Amino acid sequence: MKLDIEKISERDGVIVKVETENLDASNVKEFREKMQAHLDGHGLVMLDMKNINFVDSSGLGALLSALRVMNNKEGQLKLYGMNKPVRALFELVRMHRIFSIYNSREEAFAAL
Amino acid sequence: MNKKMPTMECGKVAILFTEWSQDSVDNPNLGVSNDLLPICGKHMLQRVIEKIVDSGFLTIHVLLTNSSGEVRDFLGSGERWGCSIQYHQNHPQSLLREKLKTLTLADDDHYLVANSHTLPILKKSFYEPGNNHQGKVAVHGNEKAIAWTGWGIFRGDWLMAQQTVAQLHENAMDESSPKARCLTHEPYTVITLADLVNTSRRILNESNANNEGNYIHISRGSKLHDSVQLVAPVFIGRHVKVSANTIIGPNVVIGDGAYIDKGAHLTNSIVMPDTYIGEILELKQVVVRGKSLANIQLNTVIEVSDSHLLSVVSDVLAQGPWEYRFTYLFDLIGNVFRFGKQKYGTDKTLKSAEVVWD
Repeated sequence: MKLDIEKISERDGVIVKVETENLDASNVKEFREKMQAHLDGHGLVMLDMKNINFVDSSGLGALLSALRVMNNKEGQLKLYGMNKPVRALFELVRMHRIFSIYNSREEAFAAL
Repeated sequence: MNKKMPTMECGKVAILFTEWSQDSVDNPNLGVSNDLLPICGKHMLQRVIEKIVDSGFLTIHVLLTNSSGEVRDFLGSGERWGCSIQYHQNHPQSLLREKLKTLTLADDDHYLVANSHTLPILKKSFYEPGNNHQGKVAVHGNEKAIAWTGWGIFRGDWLMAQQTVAQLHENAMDESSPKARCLTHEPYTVITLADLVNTSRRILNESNANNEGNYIHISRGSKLHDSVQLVAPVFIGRHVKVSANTIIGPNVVIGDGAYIDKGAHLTNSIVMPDTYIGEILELKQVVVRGKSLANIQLNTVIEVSDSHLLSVVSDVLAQGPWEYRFTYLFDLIGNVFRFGKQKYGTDKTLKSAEVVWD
């Protein structure tokens, strides 16, 4: 799994583009390991989810863990670019009320 | 002019198209034709057949496409409704005319054409041929836009002149060969899943209006924890189990045998029979069938792979924690020996609603 990293110049933050179609039990451990450094090192992490077509409960758990890390240090985790199936799953498990979710990168930036 | 052929049919004759609309990317489904998905205990196909028979059409020719097995299994010979049903395969590629030839329609007789995805609300007089020899069509809409419901009374020779289903649609509303137009209120329809949710809401609201806004129907064998909150209107099918701290309604239909686990919250949704809804899930404007969930607002269907979120009840029983299996089995055994009403909880839970039992 590849994570494309783009620094956000005007803030202590990064945009992380997840280059995988599935975020599930098969790759969630790798996702956690790769994300940890960026979560620890920045106050703002924006996750670009455009490429992700499928998330299972392991994937949801990994995203929740990431959110907890950021909340504990009063940072921000923002998700954007979710496709409809992934969005439907988030709404089913009520995680759309827990995460900050935006349709696009511009919307996510506008909300800062 | 064709002579009227002697047939074994008796009474008036109807031609019923199933799967009138085609599935498409913009019209996702739950793996079964929408007219076979139950709403408040009855699916649209059943409601349509009952209407056709009630209107005096005792011979029904059913034109089948993809869901032929399920349709045949359900309708059988028609004996259940006191009618005679004959089946004809209607492949999309074949000409409608070729299909209708096998029905031996008489030129000057009138036939009811109907479809299983839409049920218009019409007066009884619509179903009589009347004096309009050109036939009549049931339409809905207003001055700006009128659409055909897919129901009409047509002469045999006119029907035989239609080459395809598309041509039938077009010519039914053709101004050059006018048919009497009967305006109906918005028909019940299940062409899309959004239509299914809207039709379900309408049926519930009609029952709700008849029950002074307190319609909560709990069918035989269902068990609800004391802490369940029901917000009218709600329809709960047979042998449904609803666990603690769940909120159901408004506008919720739960099919037979479903299992709603602790803390779930359902509004404006339909849960199909034998579906397991996991703990703390929120269902808002969705239709759920086993592991498949259709989100109406997003117009998308997803398959949920995690059985503890959504599943078929039998899978939960086979694989779920032992507590589920024993609780469910004890309930089932209890239901066998218990007749009539089930203890469902306190009046406070139901907020003084009038509960209808069947």
